[in-house]
Amino acid sequence: MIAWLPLAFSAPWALLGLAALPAIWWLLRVTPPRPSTVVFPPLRLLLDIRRIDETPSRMPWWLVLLRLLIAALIILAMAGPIWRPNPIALTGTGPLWLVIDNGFAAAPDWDARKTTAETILEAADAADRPVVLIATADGPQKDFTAATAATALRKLEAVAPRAWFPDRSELLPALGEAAAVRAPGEIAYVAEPAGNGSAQAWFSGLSHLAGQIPLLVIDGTRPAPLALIRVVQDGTGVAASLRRVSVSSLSTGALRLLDRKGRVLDEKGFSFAPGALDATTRFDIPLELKNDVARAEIAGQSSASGVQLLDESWRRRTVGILTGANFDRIQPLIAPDYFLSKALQPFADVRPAATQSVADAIKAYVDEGVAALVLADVGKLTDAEVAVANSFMTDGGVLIRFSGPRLAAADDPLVPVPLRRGDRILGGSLSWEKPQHLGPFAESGPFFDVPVPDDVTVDRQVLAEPSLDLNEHTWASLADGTPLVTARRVGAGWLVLFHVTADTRWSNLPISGAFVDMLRRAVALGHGKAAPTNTATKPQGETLLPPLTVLDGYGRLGPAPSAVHGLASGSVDKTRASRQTPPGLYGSDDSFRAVNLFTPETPYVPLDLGPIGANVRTGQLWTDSGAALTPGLLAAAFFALLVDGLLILWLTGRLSRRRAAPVVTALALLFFGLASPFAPPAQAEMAPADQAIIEALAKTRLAYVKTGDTTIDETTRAGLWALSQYLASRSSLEPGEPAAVDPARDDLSLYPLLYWPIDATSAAPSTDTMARVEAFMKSGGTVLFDTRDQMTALPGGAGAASPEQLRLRDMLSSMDIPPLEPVPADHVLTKSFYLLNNFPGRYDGSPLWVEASTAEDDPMADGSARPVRSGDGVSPLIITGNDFAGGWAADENGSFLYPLVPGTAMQRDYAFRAGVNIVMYVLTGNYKSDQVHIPALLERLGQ
Amino acid sequence: MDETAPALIGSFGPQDLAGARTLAAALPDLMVDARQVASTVTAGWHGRRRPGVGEDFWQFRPFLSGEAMRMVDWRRSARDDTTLYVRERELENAHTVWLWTDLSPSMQFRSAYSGETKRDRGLLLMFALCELLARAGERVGLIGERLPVASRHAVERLAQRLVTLPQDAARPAGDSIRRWHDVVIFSDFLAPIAELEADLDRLRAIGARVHLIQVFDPVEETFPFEGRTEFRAPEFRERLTAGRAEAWRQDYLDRLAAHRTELREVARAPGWSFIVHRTDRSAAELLLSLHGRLSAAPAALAGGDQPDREGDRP
Repeated sequence: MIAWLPLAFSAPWALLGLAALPAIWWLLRVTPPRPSTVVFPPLRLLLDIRRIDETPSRMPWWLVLLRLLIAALIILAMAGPIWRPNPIALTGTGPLWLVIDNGFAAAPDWDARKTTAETILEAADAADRPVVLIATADGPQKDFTAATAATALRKLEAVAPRAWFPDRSELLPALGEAAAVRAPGEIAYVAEPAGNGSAQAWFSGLSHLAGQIPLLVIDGTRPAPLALIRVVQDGTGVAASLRRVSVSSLSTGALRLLDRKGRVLDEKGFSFAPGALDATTRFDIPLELKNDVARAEIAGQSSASGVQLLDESWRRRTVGILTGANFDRIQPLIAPDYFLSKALQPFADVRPAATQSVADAIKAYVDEGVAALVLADVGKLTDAEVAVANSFMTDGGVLIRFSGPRLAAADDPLVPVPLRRGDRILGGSLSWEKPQHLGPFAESGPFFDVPVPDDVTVDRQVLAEPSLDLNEHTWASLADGTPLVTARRVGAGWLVLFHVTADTRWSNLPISGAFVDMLRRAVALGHGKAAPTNTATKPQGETLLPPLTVLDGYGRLGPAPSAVHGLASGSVDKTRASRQTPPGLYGSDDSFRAVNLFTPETPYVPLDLGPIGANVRTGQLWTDSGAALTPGLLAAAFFALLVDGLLILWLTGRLSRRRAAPVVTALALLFFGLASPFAPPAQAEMAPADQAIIEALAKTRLAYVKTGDTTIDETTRAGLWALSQYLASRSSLEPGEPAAVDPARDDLSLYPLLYWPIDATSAAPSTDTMARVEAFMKSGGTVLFDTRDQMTALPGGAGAASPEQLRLRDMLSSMDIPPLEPVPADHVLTKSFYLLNNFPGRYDGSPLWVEASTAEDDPMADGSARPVRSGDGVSPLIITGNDFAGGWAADENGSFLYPLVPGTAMQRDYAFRAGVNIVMYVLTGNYKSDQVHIPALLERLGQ
Repeated sequence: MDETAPALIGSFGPQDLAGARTLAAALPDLMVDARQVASTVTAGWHGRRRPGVGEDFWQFRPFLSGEAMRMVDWRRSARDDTTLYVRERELENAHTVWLWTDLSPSMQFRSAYSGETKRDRGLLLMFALCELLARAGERVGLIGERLPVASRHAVERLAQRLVTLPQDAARPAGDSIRRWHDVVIFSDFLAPIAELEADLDRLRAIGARVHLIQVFDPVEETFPFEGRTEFRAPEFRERLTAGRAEAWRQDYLDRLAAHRTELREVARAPGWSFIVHRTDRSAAELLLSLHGRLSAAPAALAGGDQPDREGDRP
């Protein structure tokens, strides 16, 4: 490797060939270029001339330079130069231990780490040293016997970043055993940038293992990934906490919330305050979306540390409400469940009661898995109901009861504290006590941070029986100290009693803001029972949650490997991410618990390489294994050789300028084609053809085929122009100027109708042209062939065909023509605009041939009188001999160009009407045939 | 083949068979071309313009006493009361012309500046001349033949004779050449002059008139070569490499002029001529000039070497 240039040679001895360059230079100088040989008969005369200028002509200096360059390029290529070669060299002998950290912190630059490891392994392979590959996050059950570097390379393919902190200390005993079998000759350690602070023992152990052998520690330059340590829902929004390893880490970023399908629900930026290691950000996402959040992640960070998975315990609770009596339904707006629903809806799903029966409703709620159950003044509960409620609470549910007349009258066991029978009335007519305000909330209860409202008064309440532990169970009390909210823990859940009603009869608490906060905190204590799974239960009765999906080191969810254990449902909260229990979702698809890599208590500190000792070389990751320059150099030499050949041709006069141009051009194209494979995309410009198409489409135009005979073409143009004027004045169609088209070249599909005067004297269109016309007809266009021969053709059959008819037959012979028929009296052509019986043009009498409507087309053709043939679709071709265009043709002043034959009074008008009908028929198709059915359709509709 | 490099068309050296074939293949075309060229020249030629033994009518003249009565043209005489007339015919003295075209390999050369090889041009000229002479009733022969023939089909005979010649045939001695005979030789005269000189001396002694036409390619005339060039001759193996061919040009042109002077000296005799013809010039041009010389009056021919002065650059 050259010190100042990131260049190395795989075969540096080949560079000695450069020493031969002076010799090559000398040889090139003395060897003249090959002369051009010419045959010259008067050579005898030349031979008589004295020899002049006998010094051999020298090669031009630039040609010598070029050839020296070629030689130098080839020599350099043979030396195998490598650009930016592997900067790390192995030093020791004997087995190489390659230790690679593959925790989540290695994930962001894992490719570089893997490349580094591969390069080290390749170097070991080149040195033929055995290798032990140790991936720290994969645990000690790997095989730590030395294998060949090729085997280790294959093993490395299976190593990927894992979503947990590597437990390196458990590796040390296994490594010690391996070292006892065969001592390492060198240890290379690719370290990850951060950990949970447990690396001290590992480093000292590794240092101890290394002893005097070389130890190479390779550290990445990228900072450790940020960690998302907590995502909580605080009623109105979602709060997320982030942590970074050091103040030099990334300080800003974006956090996003995703649903279970990976759709981004919200994205929000965050930033660390200077010097701070922790940051928080809040999402104010709509309530409807909050329940869908299944995952929070730091955008763009490919590491498991930036991912928090959210399970059901995080979600909005579902709450069931039960009220005591039907009476509540009569005036729903002052009923307790109305106030409760209003108070619960901001943070919980309120489920209506399935039945009026309290027992059934409780059971239904519990089966539904509600997190909290609100019983508003439900009086006596049966034993069965109490048992259900108890089991509900034991499973983690919160039962919130509100008192009321019924509760006060009943002797109910399902209360947190014993109650006095009856209720206490404050400020009533028989009482001299004033309505009480709320006192401070209990510090131990969940309401401690709810601001105490000063406008809440309580008129009536049920009183708790005084007892020693009453204060422990009191969450809220009145200003005079009587408990207002009491609670008792039942199993995993809670039993909460509000000593007032859920409506405003006893207090105005239900219409205060504090009511919502209190309910929220109370509901948040509960979580629904996990749906029953079919997994084996532990002896304690706990459900074993199988791994559903687990995170990999990049933070992607994937199927769980077989080594992952299931989790006991009760131990989920205490579970920390590890090799046996990687972060992920455990449980079944509709009921799962999440294990996250980070909790707020998880330490996250930079990796301290201090204890590893002084006998260490450090290195940096590198991302590429160097670029071999040999192919490029050989290609350059090849091109130089081509140029040299051209120059030689030019020097010996065999390359004239005219011949040289294409060769040089081809060479340049070849060179630049290879040098720049990515040519900039051609600028999209509107071609003139596109402009023509746009103009043709801007207006509906009648089109005609140019025959080449100027008289016919001008007549046709004038005829179509006059017809266009007629159409514009009589119908809502205002055609543009008629377009003259050449069916061989122009795009026919732009025009609905093509008028084709047949001229027997002009050249017949080619088969290709007719194929284009056929395609036009098949794609919905209509061609109106006009043989203009009604006057000249002999009446009769095929034997008396006029030249135009013969030409038309010729033209159509190559096409797929449907069977034709003269326009029947019931054809839509006779009715499409005007009612017509025949279609005269300049002449009268020739039938108008259209595609025959077959019986299959007309399923109702049973001979019954129908006003119009079904006419599904438009006839692709219409043939006449009446010279329509001649009949229509008029100049700008409106005077007609040709007299009509026989020239009855209305013939001109009928000619135009025929044209209008044809154009309308072509443009509207069977719409007109449907129009005539309208009365019948309306009648059928019953109007 | 690069267009700046003069090139050899045809063959030389030992490829006799191929050479003969190209010759045989070229002959019919050349004969057709020759007839066309000849027809453009014929228009201006009016025989001997003297009364004598011949076939064409020349003039009527009064009968001189002493002449044989069978000389009288009775038909003409009957139109006149007093005089008898004699029909005279134009003199057609059958002249003998011997032709030869050099077929040596150096003649089979064509450069990019010229449309045909020197051999083809020489043959074309020879056939055209032969055609002209044959139409005029002259006796024409290829040098080496025993008897010249006076025939309308002299060209065909000439061509057949050429085809049967061995390839690379040297010019025969011409034992049949006699006094007053014309000898026309088309060649580039690049062979050593000594051989030619011996032949010409013999012909001069016999009393024949010799016309040498040196057919040259434009390249040979102008030497347009540049740069490092290796020259090869079709006839022998020797090569010459010129480092800078342009430096040789003037010397070559001088040498060529000297060579021509030498040739002209060798061919200096009354009525003789030496003409240089370039293959990029019109064949008719040379033919006209040559024909003028051949048909010149013997008196004029006796007057010295005037054609020689004016005609060396047609």
